[in-house]
Amino acid sequence: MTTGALIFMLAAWTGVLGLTAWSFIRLVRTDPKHEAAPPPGTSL
Amino acid sequence: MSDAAANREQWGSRIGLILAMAGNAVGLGNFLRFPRQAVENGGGSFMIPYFIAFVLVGIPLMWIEWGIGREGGVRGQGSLPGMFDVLWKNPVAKYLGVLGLFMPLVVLIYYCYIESWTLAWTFFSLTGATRGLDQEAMRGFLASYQDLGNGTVHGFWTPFIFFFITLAANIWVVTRGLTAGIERLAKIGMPLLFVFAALLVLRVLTLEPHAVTEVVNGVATTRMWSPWDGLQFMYNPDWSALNRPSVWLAAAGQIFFTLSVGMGSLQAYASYLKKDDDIALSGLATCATNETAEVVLGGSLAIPAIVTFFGVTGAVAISKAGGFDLGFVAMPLVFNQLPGGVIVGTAAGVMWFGLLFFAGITSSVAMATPAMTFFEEHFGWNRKQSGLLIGGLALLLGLAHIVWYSRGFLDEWDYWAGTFGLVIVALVETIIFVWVYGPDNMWRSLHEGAAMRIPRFFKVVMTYVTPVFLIVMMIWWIRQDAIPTLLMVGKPEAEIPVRWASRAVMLGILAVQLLLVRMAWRRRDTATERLRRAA
Repeated sequence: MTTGALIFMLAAWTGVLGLTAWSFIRLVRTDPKHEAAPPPGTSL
Repeated sequence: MSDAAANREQWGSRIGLILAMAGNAVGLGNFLRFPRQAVENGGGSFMIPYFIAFVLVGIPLMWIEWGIGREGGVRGQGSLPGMFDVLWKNPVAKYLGVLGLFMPLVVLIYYCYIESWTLAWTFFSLTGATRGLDQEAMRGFLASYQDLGNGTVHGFWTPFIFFFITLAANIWVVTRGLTAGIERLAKIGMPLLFVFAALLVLRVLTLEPHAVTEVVNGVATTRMWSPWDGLQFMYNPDWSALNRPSVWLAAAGQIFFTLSVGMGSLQAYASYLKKDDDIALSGLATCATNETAEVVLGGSLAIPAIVTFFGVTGAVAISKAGGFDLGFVAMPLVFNQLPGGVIVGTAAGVMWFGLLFFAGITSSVAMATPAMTFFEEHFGWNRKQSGLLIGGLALLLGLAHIVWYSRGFLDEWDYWAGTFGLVIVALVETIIFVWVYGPDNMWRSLHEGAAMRIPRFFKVVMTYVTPVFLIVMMIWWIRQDAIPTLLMVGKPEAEIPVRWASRAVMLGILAVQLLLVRMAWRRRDTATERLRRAA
C-alpha cells in the first residue's frame, strides 16, 4: 500500500473505532445501573 | 402525561435500544453500497467529504430524529403525523407527517424483496447451488432468479417462496412487540452480524496473493493481486475528486442512506423512550456503531476480496455493474476459490449472506414500526391486527415487485421514496423541530436526561448548516436526477407502462394514508367533543 492510502485508511479506522469505543465507555460509566448508590441515610 | 402515553411500551434495556437503533441503521448499503461509492468517488479522498457530511448532516439529523421521536412518544404519538402535530400547532403539520408513514412503508415492501434474496443465497450457499459456477453462469444464476426462473436455473416460484418466508419473519418479529420481538432480534442479530463480518474480514485480509490475467488495450498481462492491493485501490487518494460537487453529494447521500435518516423509523423507535432517557450519547453511540460496520467492516470485505481474485480492472467492471453484482455474483465467485475447499467456501457464503440478512431484517422491522403504531394509536388496533394488515399489503404489493422487477417497478419506488423522498422528510423535520419548535426548545429537549453535553457548535450546525446542506442537496438532485427520472429519459419503451403503473400505486398509497390521517384526527376531535359535552 502507498503511504497516502495507508494514512487515509488508518485515519478513517481510528476515527470510527475511537468514537465507538469512547461512546460505549461513556455509556457504561453513565448507565444508571452502574451509578453509585446514594450515601447511607440519604432520603430518596 | 396522557393515558395513551402512559400505556406505551418502553425499551427493556439501554443496550437493547442501541442495538435496535444500530440495527435500523446498519443495512445492506453498509456492505454493498459504501465500497462502490468510495471506489467511484475518489478512493481515500472520498473519506474527507464523507466524514464532513457525517458531522454536518448525519449526527445532527440522528439527534433531531431521536428528539422528535421522544417529544412525540411522551405525548402518546409514535408516528410522524402525530409528532409533527404536537411540535407545530398547525393543521398542515399532520399531513406533512404522512411522509413519515409513506416512506418506511413503501421502502419496507421492496426492501423485504431484496432482503429475501439474501435469505435465498444463504440457502444456496448451504446447499452448494452456486458452487463451481463461473462468472457468466453466476450472473445467469442471479438473472434467472430476478426474472422468475426464466425457464433456466430457478423455478418460477422460488423468489415468491423466499419473499414470503422473509416477510413472515418480519411480521412475526414486529407482532411480538418491542422488547420480545424487535429488541430480542437486535440482541441476537447484531452481535452475529459483527462476528460474521469480523471473521470474514480476517479471512479476506489474510488471503495469499493470487495471479490474475487482465486484458488492457488488447494486451494480456498477468500479475499477483493481494487484499492489500484492494485496500490500496479503495483508499488511494484522488485529490482532483474533491473539486467535483458530485463527489460531495455522493458522500452526503451515502451518509443519509447509511444512517437511515429521513425515513420515519428512527423517530418511531425513539418514541418508546422515557422522558428522562439519554438521547445525546445513545444517539452518538448508534452512529458510531453504524460507521464501524460500514467503514471498518464493509470497506474491508467486498473490494479487497474481489481485487484479489479479479484484479483492479475486474473489480471496476463488477462495481460498475451495480451493488447486487458485487454481493450476489462476485462474492460467491470469491468463496468458490477460497483455499480450504468446500467447507470454508460454504461457511464464508453462509456468513456473508447471513450477515446481509441480519443487516436487512433489523432494518426492515424498523420500517414496519411507524405504520403499525399509527393503527394502534389512532384506530385502537392491537399489534397482531396491524401487523397482519401491513403484512398483507406488503405481500400483495411485493408480488408486483417480484413480477415486474426487471421492468423497473422497483426502481421507481427506490428512487422516489428510498432516495429523493428521504431528503424531503429530513428537510421538513429539520424545519419543524429546529425552526418552528425553536432552536432553544430543541436544544433543551435533546439535553433532557442527557449523559453528555452536546458541543454548542452543533446547535449552530442544526439551525443553519444542516438545513442549508439539505436544500443544496435537494436542488442538486432535482437538477441532476429527478427531472430526467421523472421524464424517464433513456428508459426502454417496454418499461414505460410498468413504471407509470409503479408511480400510480405509490400515489395511491400516499392518497390512502392522507385519508387515514384525516379520519384519525376526525375521530379524535369527535371523541374530545363528546368528552367535553359529557363534562
